[in-house]
Amino acid sequence: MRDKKIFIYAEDDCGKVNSAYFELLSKACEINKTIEAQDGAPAELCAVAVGAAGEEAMKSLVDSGADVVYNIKGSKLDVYNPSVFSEALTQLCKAEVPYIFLFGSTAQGTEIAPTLGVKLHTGVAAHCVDLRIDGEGAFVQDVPAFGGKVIGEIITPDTLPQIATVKPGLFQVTKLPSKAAKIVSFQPILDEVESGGIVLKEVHIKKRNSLPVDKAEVIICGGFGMGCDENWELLEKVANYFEKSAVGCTRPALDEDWAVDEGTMIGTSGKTVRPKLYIGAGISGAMHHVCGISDSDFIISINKDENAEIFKTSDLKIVGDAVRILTALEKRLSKE
Amino acid sequence: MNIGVLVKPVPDPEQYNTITIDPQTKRLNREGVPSIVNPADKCAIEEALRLKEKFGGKVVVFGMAPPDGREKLLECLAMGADEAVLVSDRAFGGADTLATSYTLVKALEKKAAEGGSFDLILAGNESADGATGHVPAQVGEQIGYNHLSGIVKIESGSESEPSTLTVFQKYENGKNEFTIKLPAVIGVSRDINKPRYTSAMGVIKAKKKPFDIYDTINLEHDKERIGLAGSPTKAGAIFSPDTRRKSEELSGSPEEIAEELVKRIKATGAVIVSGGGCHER
Ligand SMILES: Cc1cc2nc3c(=O)[nH]c(=O)nc-3n(C[C@H](O)[C@H](O)[C@H](O)COP(=O)(O)OP(=O)(O)OC[C@H]3O[C@@H](n4cnc5c(N)ncnc54)[C@H](O)[C@@H]3O)c2cc1C
Repeated sequence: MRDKKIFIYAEDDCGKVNSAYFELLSKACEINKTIEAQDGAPAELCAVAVGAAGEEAMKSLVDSGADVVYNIKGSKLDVYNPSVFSEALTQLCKAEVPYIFLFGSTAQGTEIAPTLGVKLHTGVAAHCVDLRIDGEGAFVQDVPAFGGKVIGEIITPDTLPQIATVKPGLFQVTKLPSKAAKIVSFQPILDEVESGGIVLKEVHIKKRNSLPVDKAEVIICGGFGMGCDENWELLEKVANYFEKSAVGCTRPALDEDWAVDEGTMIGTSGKTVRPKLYIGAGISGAMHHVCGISDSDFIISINKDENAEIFKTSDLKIVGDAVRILTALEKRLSKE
Repeated sequence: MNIGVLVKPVPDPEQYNTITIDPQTKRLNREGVPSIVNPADKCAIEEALRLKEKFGGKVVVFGMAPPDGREKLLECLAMGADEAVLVSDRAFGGADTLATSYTLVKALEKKAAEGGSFDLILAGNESADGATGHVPAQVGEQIGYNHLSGIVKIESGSESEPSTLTVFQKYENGKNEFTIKLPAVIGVSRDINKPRYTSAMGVIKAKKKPFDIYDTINLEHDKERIGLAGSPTKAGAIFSPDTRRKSEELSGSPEEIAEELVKRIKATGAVIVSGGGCHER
């Protein structure tokens, strides 16, 4: 008999399923191997979609490798409303009592997960960097603290579900065979829920003219050491020589307005990236930034300070002026 | 407009690289790292002060911390907040976000009963140290107000005191624009403003402002819901992730370095586009 259920929040992303879902499903599948070995049966992997999940999204959930897709429907659920969504999810959790409930640390996930924690009086582990079941069957959630300098293990021993949010971009997606998941419709009772307290008026989508950093294979990243606007353009020029590339930044570069898109900031409060190649220029190597790049395949750093912290985390170290090195690199690349 | 602001003293995030774990005791060693007011909380105070300047009312800061947190709350008063409440008791220690927000809600309710209810509660979206980002949502949910986190802009409309705010929330593809009815709890991101500097006059005035200390004796509470006992999550071992790499040095003139760099870059599998016109990156 299967008595454990792992819920995974399938967030809508403009009609598609947010990529965090697939990352979490891959991780859940891994955890499930331990559960199966310990319990004799795996947990049921369940996608949970709220609102008007379209046909395309439903199809990709059914084929994602999940066992069940919960489709939560109701008239008040057509537009994202965190308080109504949380109430709907609470009712589903009370009905099905999941063992684990996973969310991406997206704007939605980080709003709904702690709200559910209150409504269900259970624990929530935030921005987890790893998840596992230990030898005693406890669900161990690794959470970062102090900007990623320290990782702490968290467990929720006495209450269910054990809720965790996970930083998107950290877990690799493994393509799972489709199990042609069973679709279960769930209609929460929302008559009493006040939906006018919070109203989503408009979604302002930011147009990007290059690849998002977390999808790029090559990242040219600049920090405060780039010095000024004109120097910043050098990063764009170098990035133009690579396929699937993007320019990333640190917080100070954003504060200086050299980088204009806050979505390109990498680190604790920004994106987590795992490119084939990361080149960082004028970056000191604060843990807040480093924890966002440490899964990169190859890290090259340019800094004028030979003792810069960033060098410890780098495969290749270049001590020198970032502008001079990048200018020479651009010139050399133009001959390719 | 009466505004409560939740603030937390945190070890200075500029110095997190110096924090270590004692190999023997497995405890955190943060010696020599001074405490500051959590950066995002300062933005929450700034936002509260701007609203107060527009609509009148008062700004009360709440901090749950050990007794030395008093100093940090005085800094908030010096910045311009009108009153401070330090929520401090050994029994509140070891709390996770659920127990912390429960305790803060009790403090907010006590203060509201004594000095008038709050129209708005602001908090930094997350603390620099634990950075869960849970507290605004969990305070909002437990006090029974509307709540939103990750807010980068608050619009309060025209002259008269608003019953609804328009807020912008940062999300993965851009921004969500919401209206939120007051009373509400809002978690603000550091992008929302640049906090003002404290004046010398502010520091002098701070010492004369009302300052309350709430503990388990004067704050009504359910003892099953505070501190370790009230925390559904339990903390286990801590460790430091190892991010060290080879750190092989390339040297020479910029041209020589560039020559070698291109070789190394190719070895990573990065695809170079000749002519550099890769605008469809
Ligand atoms: C709660 C919190 C969250 C944060 N989240 C993030 C985050 O997500 N991402 C992030 O990046 N930061 C984040 N930060 C900020 C972080 O702590 C650091 O301040 C930041 O990463 C430093 O950026 P930097 O390396 O560009 O600047 P600096 O630390 O100022 O370093 C600049 C470097 O450039 C070098 N340099 C100067 N001139 C040259 C030159 N001509 N050539 C070569 N090198 C040169 C210097 O030697 C120095 O090492 C956060 C901070 C807090 C408090």
